[in-house]
Amino acid sequence: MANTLIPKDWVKNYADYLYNHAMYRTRNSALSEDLVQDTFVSAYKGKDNFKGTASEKTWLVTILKNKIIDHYRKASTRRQINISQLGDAADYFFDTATEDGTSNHRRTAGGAQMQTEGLDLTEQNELNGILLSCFDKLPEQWSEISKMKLVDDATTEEITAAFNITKSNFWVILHRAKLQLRECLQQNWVNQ
Amino acid sequence: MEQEKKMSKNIFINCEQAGLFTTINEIGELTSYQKIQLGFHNLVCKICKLWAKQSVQITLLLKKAFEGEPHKMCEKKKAELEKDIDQLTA
Repeated sequence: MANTLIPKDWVKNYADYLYNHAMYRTRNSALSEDLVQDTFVSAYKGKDNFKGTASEKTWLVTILKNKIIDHYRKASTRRQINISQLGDAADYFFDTATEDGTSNHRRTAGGAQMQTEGLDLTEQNELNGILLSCFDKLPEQWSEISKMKLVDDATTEEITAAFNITKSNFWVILHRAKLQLRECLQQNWVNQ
Repeated sequence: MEQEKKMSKNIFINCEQAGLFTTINEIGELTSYQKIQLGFHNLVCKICKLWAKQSVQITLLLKKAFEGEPHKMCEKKKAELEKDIDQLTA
């Protein structure tokens, strides 16, 4: 049976959930309220696009996530740097010689720095938001595995059993997730 | 397993292996020999040494980003939103 939308119950049923989701990503109360408000307005205006295959909550969360990404995309344009200046993240792991004979390692050493220390509260909040947006972009299994291990401190045995993967696979997934997070942070976060 | 055996043959490892070893080391699952391999590699490789720092940074940032009690929207704002939706649906 297809799910239906009941806009008059949205605030009662989902306002806190969406606000909490936005707060974890933006750490900014006023911004989170605005994002939830925008989400409800956009959802109502786009209600004809709701096919009923996902739940109402999932649909609203998806809209909110897009709003958050849009927000950070706009915010990050002022500090966005050309990825070509950093080199391909994968290249950091191969000592490829360049035309001038220097290695990628030496060439990109400065650009690869992530300045995450000594930030004021606003910058820290923004960094958290960008990081969580980057986290949302990971393949679902990678993000679940990474969160279980790095945030929830689950044991490797618990995770490999839960996802039915080998220990080696788990290590590689965790490593690739972190590399992708670093690449995303380097694209979207440069401390000024 | 095959990959692990292959990686363990030589004391000198490449950057790809060193990167993976760094991630594994951070969660405390690197063998003693692999730790030595990683140590040797990081002596001569600035970027892999940097990755070791960044890997820890990413973990700390993630923990910080996810920490905290659930947040609740204030009732006043909820009432405003209720009004907005009522106006839209009217």
